[in-house]
Amino acid sequence: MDINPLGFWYEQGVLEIKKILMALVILMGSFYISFGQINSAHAEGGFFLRVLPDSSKEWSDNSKLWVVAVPGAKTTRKFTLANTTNRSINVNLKLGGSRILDGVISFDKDVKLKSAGYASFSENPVKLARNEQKVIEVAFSPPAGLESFAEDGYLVASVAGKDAPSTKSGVQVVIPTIYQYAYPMFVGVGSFAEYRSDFEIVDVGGYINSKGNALKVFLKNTGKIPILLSGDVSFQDATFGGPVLGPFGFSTSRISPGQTAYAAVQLPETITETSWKIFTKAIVGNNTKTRTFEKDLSFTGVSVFMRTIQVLLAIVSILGLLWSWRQLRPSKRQGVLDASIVPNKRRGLRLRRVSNPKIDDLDFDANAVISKLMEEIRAESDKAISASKIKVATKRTPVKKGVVQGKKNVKGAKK
Amino acid sequence: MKKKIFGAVVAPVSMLVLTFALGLGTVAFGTPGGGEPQQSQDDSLINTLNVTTEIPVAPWCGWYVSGGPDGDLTLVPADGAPTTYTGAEIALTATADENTAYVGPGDELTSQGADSDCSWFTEGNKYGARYDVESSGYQFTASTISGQDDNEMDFEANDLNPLIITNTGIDDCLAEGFTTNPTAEIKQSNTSTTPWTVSTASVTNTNFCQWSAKYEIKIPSGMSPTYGNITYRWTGPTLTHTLVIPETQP
Repeated sequence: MDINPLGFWYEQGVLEIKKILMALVILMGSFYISFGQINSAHAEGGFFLRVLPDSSKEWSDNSKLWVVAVPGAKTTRKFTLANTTNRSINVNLKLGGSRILDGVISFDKDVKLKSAGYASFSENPVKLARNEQKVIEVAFSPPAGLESFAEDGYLVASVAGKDAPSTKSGVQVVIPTIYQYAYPMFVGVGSFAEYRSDFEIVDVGGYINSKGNALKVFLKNTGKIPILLSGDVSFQDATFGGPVLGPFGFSTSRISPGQTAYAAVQLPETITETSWKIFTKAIVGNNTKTRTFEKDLSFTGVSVFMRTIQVLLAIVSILGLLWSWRQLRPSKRQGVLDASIVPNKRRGLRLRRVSNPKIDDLDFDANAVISKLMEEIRAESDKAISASKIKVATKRTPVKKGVVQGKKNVKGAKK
Repeated sequence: MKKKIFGAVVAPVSMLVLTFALGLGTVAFGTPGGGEPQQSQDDSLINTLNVTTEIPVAPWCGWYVSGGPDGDLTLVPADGAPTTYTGAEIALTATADENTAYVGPGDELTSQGADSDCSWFTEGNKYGARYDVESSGYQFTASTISGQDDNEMDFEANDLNPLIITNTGIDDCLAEGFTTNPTAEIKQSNTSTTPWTVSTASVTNTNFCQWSAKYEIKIPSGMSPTYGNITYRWTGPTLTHTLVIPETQP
C-alpha cells in the first residue's frame, strides 16, 4: 500500500487541528454557558460580580455560589469583581442572611448567616483601579467536629458613592449612598459524602403550553444540596415499537433539597396522544439516572394561539350560519302572503304581529311557515276525508244498482 | 336563487367549522401516533459522528441596573426657597440622574433592546429581580463647613417632615412586568422602600424601566444655630440601593 508521507502527515495534521479546534469550541461553549447563567450586575456602583464555575465538585460546576464546607478543612470558591468606572473603587464584601417567602429565597439584611463566622475573603475591601478586574476567593473553614447544617444566604458586595463636594455658600443636605449587589448562595457544612447530589426521576406527564405539546419531567431532589439537573427524553411507540424519537433535552433551575420540581420539554408535533415508551435520563455532575415509563400520553390544555384560532373560527361560523339562515328563510313578503291561507283568527293575530315592530321577524316567519304547514296538513286531511266519503258512496251504489236490477228482473219475471 | 344555493352550502360548512372550533372535532381531526424518526436505536450517537456544525449562540440574558447618582446625593434649596437659614423653614430638593433597570445581554443598554439580543434559553433559567432602597436611619446631623458639629441644628425625618422619594416615570414600567412603588416616605417609622420588583413569571428578554428619583426634605424652622455667619451642612442617613437576585424554584 503506497502512502504519500507528505499527504499522510498533512491529513493527520488537519485531523489533529480539527480535533483541537473542536475541543476548544466545546470548552469555550461550556465555559460560556456555565459562566453566564447568572450574569447580572450593579452598574450603578460601577462594578460586576460573577461566580466562576469549579468542575472539581458536581455542585460547584456552575455559576451558582454553592459551597460544601468540611469541618476541619478549608473549602474555597472563586468569583470575579470588575470595576467599570474611570475612578478607583473599594468593594466591601460580606455574607448576608435570607428569608423564604412563598417559595422564593430572598435577601434579608436582618438575618445573620450562621456560616459567616467561618468565612473569609482573600481581599476585603477589594481595591479596584479604574477598569480593573480581580479574582477573589471566599474560604470557609468550619472547626473540626462542628455539627452539620445547611443554609441559604447571600454574598453582598457594596460600593460607596463618591463624597459630595461641599458648597462654599448656602445650606445643603448630603445623603451618603451605597450601591450593593446581593448574590444568592448556599452553604452546607458537613462531609462531601453527606452532601453528594442525589435525585429521583419521579414521573412524566403531557401538557400543552403556549408553544404546543410539551412534557413535564418530575424530579425530586433527595440529597441535601440544591441541584441543577439536565437530561433528555426519547420516545418509542409502546404498541408497535419502531424508531426512537428524540432525544429532547431539558434543564432545570435550582431544585432545593427535598423538593419535587418539573422540567419542561417542548415536543414536536410528531409526539401525539398515544401509548409511548418514554426513556428519561437526568444528570447532575457524574451522577446519571435513567428511568423508562410506559404511558398513554395525553396533552391537556389549549395553547393561546389555538384558543384564538378557535374563537375566530367560531365567530366566522356563527356569522356564516346567520347569513345562510337569512338566505334560506322565506321572505317577509312571502310570509305575509302565505298568511292569507290561514284561518281568520290566526291571520288577524299574524297581521297584528306584522304591524308590531317589537316582534322578531324570525319568529313571525317561523309561525307563518308552521301555520302554512299546518294548513297544508289540514287540507291534506280534508282531502283524505273527502276521498274516503266518495269511496263509501261507490260501495253503496252497486247495492242500489242491484235493487234496480232486481226490480228489472221482477219486471222481467212479470214478463 | 343563487344566494339560496350558496346559503345551503355555507350552512353545513359553517356548522362543521363551528363543531371544530368548539373542540368537538379534536379527536376526529387528530393525527395518529408515529412521526418522523429523529434517531433510531441502531444509529450511532450524534456525538460520536465526525461532524462539525457552527451554530451561533445568543448571549445570556441578565438583570442590570445602571445610572443613578455617581456619588452622594446633595439636596439644595428648591427654586424660590431661601438659601440662608434665618429660623424659617427651607425646602431642599435633588433629582438624581436617570436610573435604568433592564434585562439584556450587557451593561450598556440605554434604550429597550430587542427580543433577539439575548436569551434565557429555557424557562427554568429565568429569574426575577428586586431593587431595594434602605435608609440607615432618620437623623440629619449638622456641622459647619469647617467641620464643627452643632447638635442644636440636628433634625430628624418624621411624619411632619419625611424624606420624600418620588420615582418619576416608574409607573410607565408597569406594562413591562414591573411592580412599582412610585413614592415613599423615609422617616422614623419607615426606613425602606422597594421601587420595583419583577417576578420570575414576568421576566422576558426585554424588561426595561427608566425612572428618576427625586428627593425632598425640609430644614425645620425654629432651630437656633450655635455659630452664626457660616455655612451649615447636614449629613443624612446612608441610603443603600440593593439589586437583589431572589433564588427561585422551578
